[in-house]
Amino acid sequence: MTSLELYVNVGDPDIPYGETGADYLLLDLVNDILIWTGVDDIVKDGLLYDPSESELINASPIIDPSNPVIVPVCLLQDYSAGTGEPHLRQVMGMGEDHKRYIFCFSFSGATATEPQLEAWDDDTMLTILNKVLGGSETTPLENPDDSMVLGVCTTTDPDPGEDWGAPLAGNGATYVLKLNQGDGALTVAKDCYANLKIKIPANFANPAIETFSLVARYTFIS
Amino acid sequence: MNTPLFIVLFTDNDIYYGKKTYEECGWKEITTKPIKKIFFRLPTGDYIILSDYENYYHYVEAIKVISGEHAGKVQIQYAHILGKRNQRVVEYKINILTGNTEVRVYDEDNEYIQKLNKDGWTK
Repeated sequence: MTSLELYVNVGDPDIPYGETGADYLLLDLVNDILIWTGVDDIVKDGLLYDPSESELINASPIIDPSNPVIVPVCLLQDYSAGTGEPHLRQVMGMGEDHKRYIFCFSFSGATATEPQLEAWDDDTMLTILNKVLGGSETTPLENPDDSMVLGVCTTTDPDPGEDWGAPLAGNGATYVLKLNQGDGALTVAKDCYANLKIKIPANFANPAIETFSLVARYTFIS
Repeated sequence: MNTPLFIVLFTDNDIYYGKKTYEECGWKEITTKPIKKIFFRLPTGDYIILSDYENYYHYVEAIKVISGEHAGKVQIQYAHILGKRNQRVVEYKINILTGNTEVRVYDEDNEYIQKLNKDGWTK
């Protein structure tokens, strides 16, 4: 059975996982938390404790009345960090132009079809009504084109370029992120790469606290 | 369930019994002998029968929750069994939670079929 582990780059975002000089952390998906946030003096890389709710609120990005805001920082809150160790590590290169090796999806073996990343309201994978995924209170309720969660696959692409990102929401063919660059199934164990960002529209009128689910869908021959 | 996930009847009347779980079902151990029929178990305990195809394919579809309330959860959602004959492919997509089964027919040169890992086809 092929399995999947997710690593995040906390070092040089130009170095792939496993290469000399690479600094990646394996996500404990049950306990670790990814925090997308603004630039802040407290909630930042190296913080030695879990941030409080008020600290997180103070650090959150501010909606701009005139321009979209790309959430500038992604932090890994490391559950297993001990006293005196950093509880927050910055995922380096997240959301940046021209950065390739950010999120590493490591598959232990071959797959039958191309693995893909999807974004949903929750892990029932039925709806995309969260505002961050393009949800609206007026018909149509689901608008995946308006999803603020954007992704790009960089598994074989040497440079995602500037202003990259296709909206992720649901499982429509153009709203999922194929993790092998559209080349189909993995024929051997492979590390696939992607970068993600959250882009908040200018003057967005519905600030909210929302939890959405990122889901990796993969297949295997057993 | 305590029965094989699938049973293969070869044209020489030999029988191969798959294993019992989706995670390790023994598909890759099917020999290269010509196949007459495959009996594939549904979640209800019944079997569907695919017969007289030139090649067969089976794979399992799973999800892993990366972030959100149940992050870390791994769940097998679908079993797929396919048969190819005369440049046509018939696919049974079986929801292993509900037992609902979708049947789809593709031309052999369909992009989805072409991008399947070719190692999964029986010879």
